[in-house]
Amino acid sequence: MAKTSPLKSERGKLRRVIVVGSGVAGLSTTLALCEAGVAVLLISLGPSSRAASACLQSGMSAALGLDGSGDSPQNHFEESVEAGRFLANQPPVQAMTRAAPGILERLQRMGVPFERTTEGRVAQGGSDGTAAQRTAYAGSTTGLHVVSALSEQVRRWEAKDVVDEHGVEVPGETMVHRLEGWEVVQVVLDDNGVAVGVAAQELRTLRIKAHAGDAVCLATGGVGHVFSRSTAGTRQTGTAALAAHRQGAAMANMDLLHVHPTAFPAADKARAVGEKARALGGRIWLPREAADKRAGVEIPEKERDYILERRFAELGNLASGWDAATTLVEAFVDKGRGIADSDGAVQPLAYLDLTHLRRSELSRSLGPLLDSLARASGIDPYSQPIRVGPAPAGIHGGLWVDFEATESGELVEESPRNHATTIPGLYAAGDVEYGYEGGCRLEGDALLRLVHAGRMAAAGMAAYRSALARSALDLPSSVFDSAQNAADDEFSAMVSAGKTPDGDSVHSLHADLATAMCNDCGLRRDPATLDRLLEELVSLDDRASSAHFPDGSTSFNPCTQAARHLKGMVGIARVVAAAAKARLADETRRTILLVADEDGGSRIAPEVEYECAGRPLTASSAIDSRFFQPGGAS
Amino acid sequence: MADEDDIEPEESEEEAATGDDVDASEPAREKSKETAPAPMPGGSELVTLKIRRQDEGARPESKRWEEFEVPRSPGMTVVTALNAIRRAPKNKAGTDVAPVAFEATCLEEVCGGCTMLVNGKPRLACATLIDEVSPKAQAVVLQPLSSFLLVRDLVVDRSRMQESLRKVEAWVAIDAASSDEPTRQSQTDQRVAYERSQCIDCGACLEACPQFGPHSDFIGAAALNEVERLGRHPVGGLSNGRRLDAAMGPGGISGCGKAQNCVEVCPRKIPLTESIAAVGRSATRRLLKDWIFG
Ligand code: SF4
Ligand code: FES
Repeated sequence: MAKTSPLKSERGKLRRVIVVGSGVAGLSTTLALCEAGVAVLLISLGPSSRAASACLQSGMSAALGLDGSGDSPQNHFEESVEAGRFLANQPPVQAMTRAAPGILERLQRMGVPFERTTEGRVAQGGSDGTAAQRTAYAGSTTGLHVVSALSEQVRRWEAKDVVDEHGVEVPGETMVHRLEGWEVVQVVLDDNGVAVGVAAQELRTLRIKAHAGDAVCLATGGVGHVFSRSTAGTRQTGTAALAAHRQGAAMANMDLLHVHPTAFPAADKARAVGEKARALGGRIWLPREAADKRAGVEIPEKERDYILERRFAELGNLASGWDAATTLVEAFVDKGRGIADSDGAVQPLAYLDLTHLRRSELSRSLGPLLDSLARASGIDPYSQPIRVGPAPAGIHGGLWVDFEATESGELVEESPRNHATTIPGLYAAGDVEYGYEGGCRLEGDALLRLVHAGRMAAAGMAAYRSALARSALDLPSSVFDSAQNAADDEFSAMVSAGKTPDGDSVHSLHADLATAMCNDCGLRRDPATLDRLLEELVSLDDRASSAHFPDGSTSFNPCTQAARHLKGMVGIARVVAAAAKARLADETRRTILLVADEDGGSRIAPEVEYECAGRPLTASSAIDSRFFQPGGAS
Repeated sequence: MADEDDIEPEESEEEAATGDDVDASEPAREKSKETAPAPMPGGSELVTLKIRRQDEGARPESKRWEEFEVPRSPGMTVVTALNAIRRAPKNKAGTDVAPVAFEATCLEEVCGGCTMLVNGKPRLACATLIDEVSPKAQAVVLQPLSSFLLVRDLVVDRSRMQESLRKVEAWVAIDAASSDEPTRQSQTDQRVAYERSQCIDCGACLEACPQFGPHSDFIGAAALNEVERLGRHPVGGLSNGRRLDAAMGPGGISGCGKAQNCVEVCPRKIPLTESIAAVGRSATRRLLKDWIFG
């Protein structure tokens, strides 16, 4: 159909697509694109080792069926959907659970040091939300190793020359061209509203440049930094996702809070203690008496309440993240339970107890994690129970993305619709999008979902690109010039606002925002508070626009980046609060779709019209639960 | 490497070393009480930070020391202190200044971004407790890593580490087209691999190494450890020759002066000297083989 060369544009330029973000999702997208022969421009804030996915302690689930319990991808699928509270579209989740064994095996070939059985196979253990032994772990640092393995593979493509259809190398061009230390600020849209590149700023020089690409994939991660006391890192701001949203990409399910049930409140953040601690036998308990001021080790067995074991007969401490977190919050908020300080104040925390487990086993499986907890808490987690509690980790929702399934629910892998957003040519993969998780994810799916999403998005982009009538690299340069100018103007406006000394400081505004979100938009929500929050966010948005930052440097200037992230985070917070309000108003099970409003907020839309590879389509708020429904088969 | 001016905070360097011995991140460290942190050391409610600043790598004339005071709080880290400065950027003399630029992403000892010199030693700022490096209320001295190009204040450019990894072909050369057949590995091999897979690209080992820096092309411990680790992998081992050749080339293993500083400072406790020795042995074997069989 398309007459264009897959390799070069009519003007003879090498055709690339753009991937933004180099965590697990971005790396996986890049890798799959290269394998499909598509050259990539990979843009990221920093090296992959700094990516948030490196912090994922969760292992990787795949139903290999080797544990003798008859586990199967179908079980895995059903448990994922159920944990997600039936809020995820089922065909993509099914495809993910079917792809899991292949992904796990591929990662071991790439060098992820998964634990082994005596026979040398990948060992599988337990994880939250399941009784099956289907989760492969590389100690407590699986995320770190998956990031390393994928970035090693991408490094290999960075060294590989592009080869044309005759097998001849294209001089000076490698399959992956990597830009590190750049922040994407806008998607470049052509006159028809099609994504044809990105405008990005080099952090070292503050220079802004528009880059052309035949398709763009955002793999920019989650939004956890919007909440105070969250388990997220400082880069999970959602800034790029918000820019795309304001340019026309719909978002979905931005109300669905991702809560980590067991996080230790350290000085700088809540540090997640992964579910592997519970999979090894770690127990969660509360003192029977909230006022009990004794240290955890001194509280005798009969005065401890193993609350999850009591509540969840089957899974006990391995109840899903959502079940565990809501149970604990209920005990703290409604029953006034928790752990008493030395001055008697009851903190919303519970004990995670590992003291009955073998030290050698703990140190082998969780060593690096327990060491860092010991440092942060001053407590030896091998011999004393540690204090943990639920903490926000981010939002399960994100940019709305499509999928295409056959009548029987099989995913059409070569469809350009997979992972397409409502902006033609713009794709999204990973925490930045809403797919797969619904209202809670099994932690064993966290890494799986990122790798799989990248592979699906890559297939979607490759299909989209081959249907393109004209390469983005053949567009008149005016398209890119005007995007660059717009981004330049926006940046100058921000910098001049930053110079006015009467504004609030960028960093103190972030603290206000994050505290408001944590207090008013956490697990417990009510319409009156949300209304008040929405109003407060409008005023915070204004204050953020005129935020002051005391740094006039015209080269590397972290204050300018903080100001941009602040604007992004306030914008994300407004989407979250609007979605939360809509969910409360109508609790029937559905996807909450949001489109950007003129006034800087977002509104709920029952459906959104969009186009993909020339086909007019509709994003709908109905959930595709064709395989099964709560309480039985459909 | 560091100019004379940088050597100034010498006494605190020693104190930090002592402090470190006490802590040594010993997981077995037991504390009788798990309750609130000890009372403020020295009765001081404030901690002083003495920070080496420079506005741009290309502007050495802007190099200066600046002192800040921030409130002490229980469990606070160097990152907590730098965040406090960022919220209220005023130096000890009361002058409004630009916030100190620093890098910290994960805040949980995994991203490797926050490495800096704390009292003269390369450490992760997010893993360094103020009470530990300032037990008697003395000033905490922060400096950027000196073996890398300076960007601004405490931020340096560590992209050279990625280049070294490219140079030694740090990847497992899997066949893209093959089916995903599982590999087998013994539990012992997995444990060794796991321990050596812990690198977070923090650069501490390179900072501590007398052979590494702008004056030399030595790739350093982190990249050599990757050569060793990938060579042990069931698939990676099959293409070990290429990595070894690179490690035997310019800037490679012959640059190691066996100072053994790397292993002391690695926050992930990677047995770097063992890895380097193993690469050395494999390199020798490869040389001999070439020599004997041509
Ligand atoms: S080997 Fe250790 S010290 Fe060196 S970069 Fe890696 S983690 Fe840092
Ligand atoms: S901030 Fe990531 S290691 Fe310190």
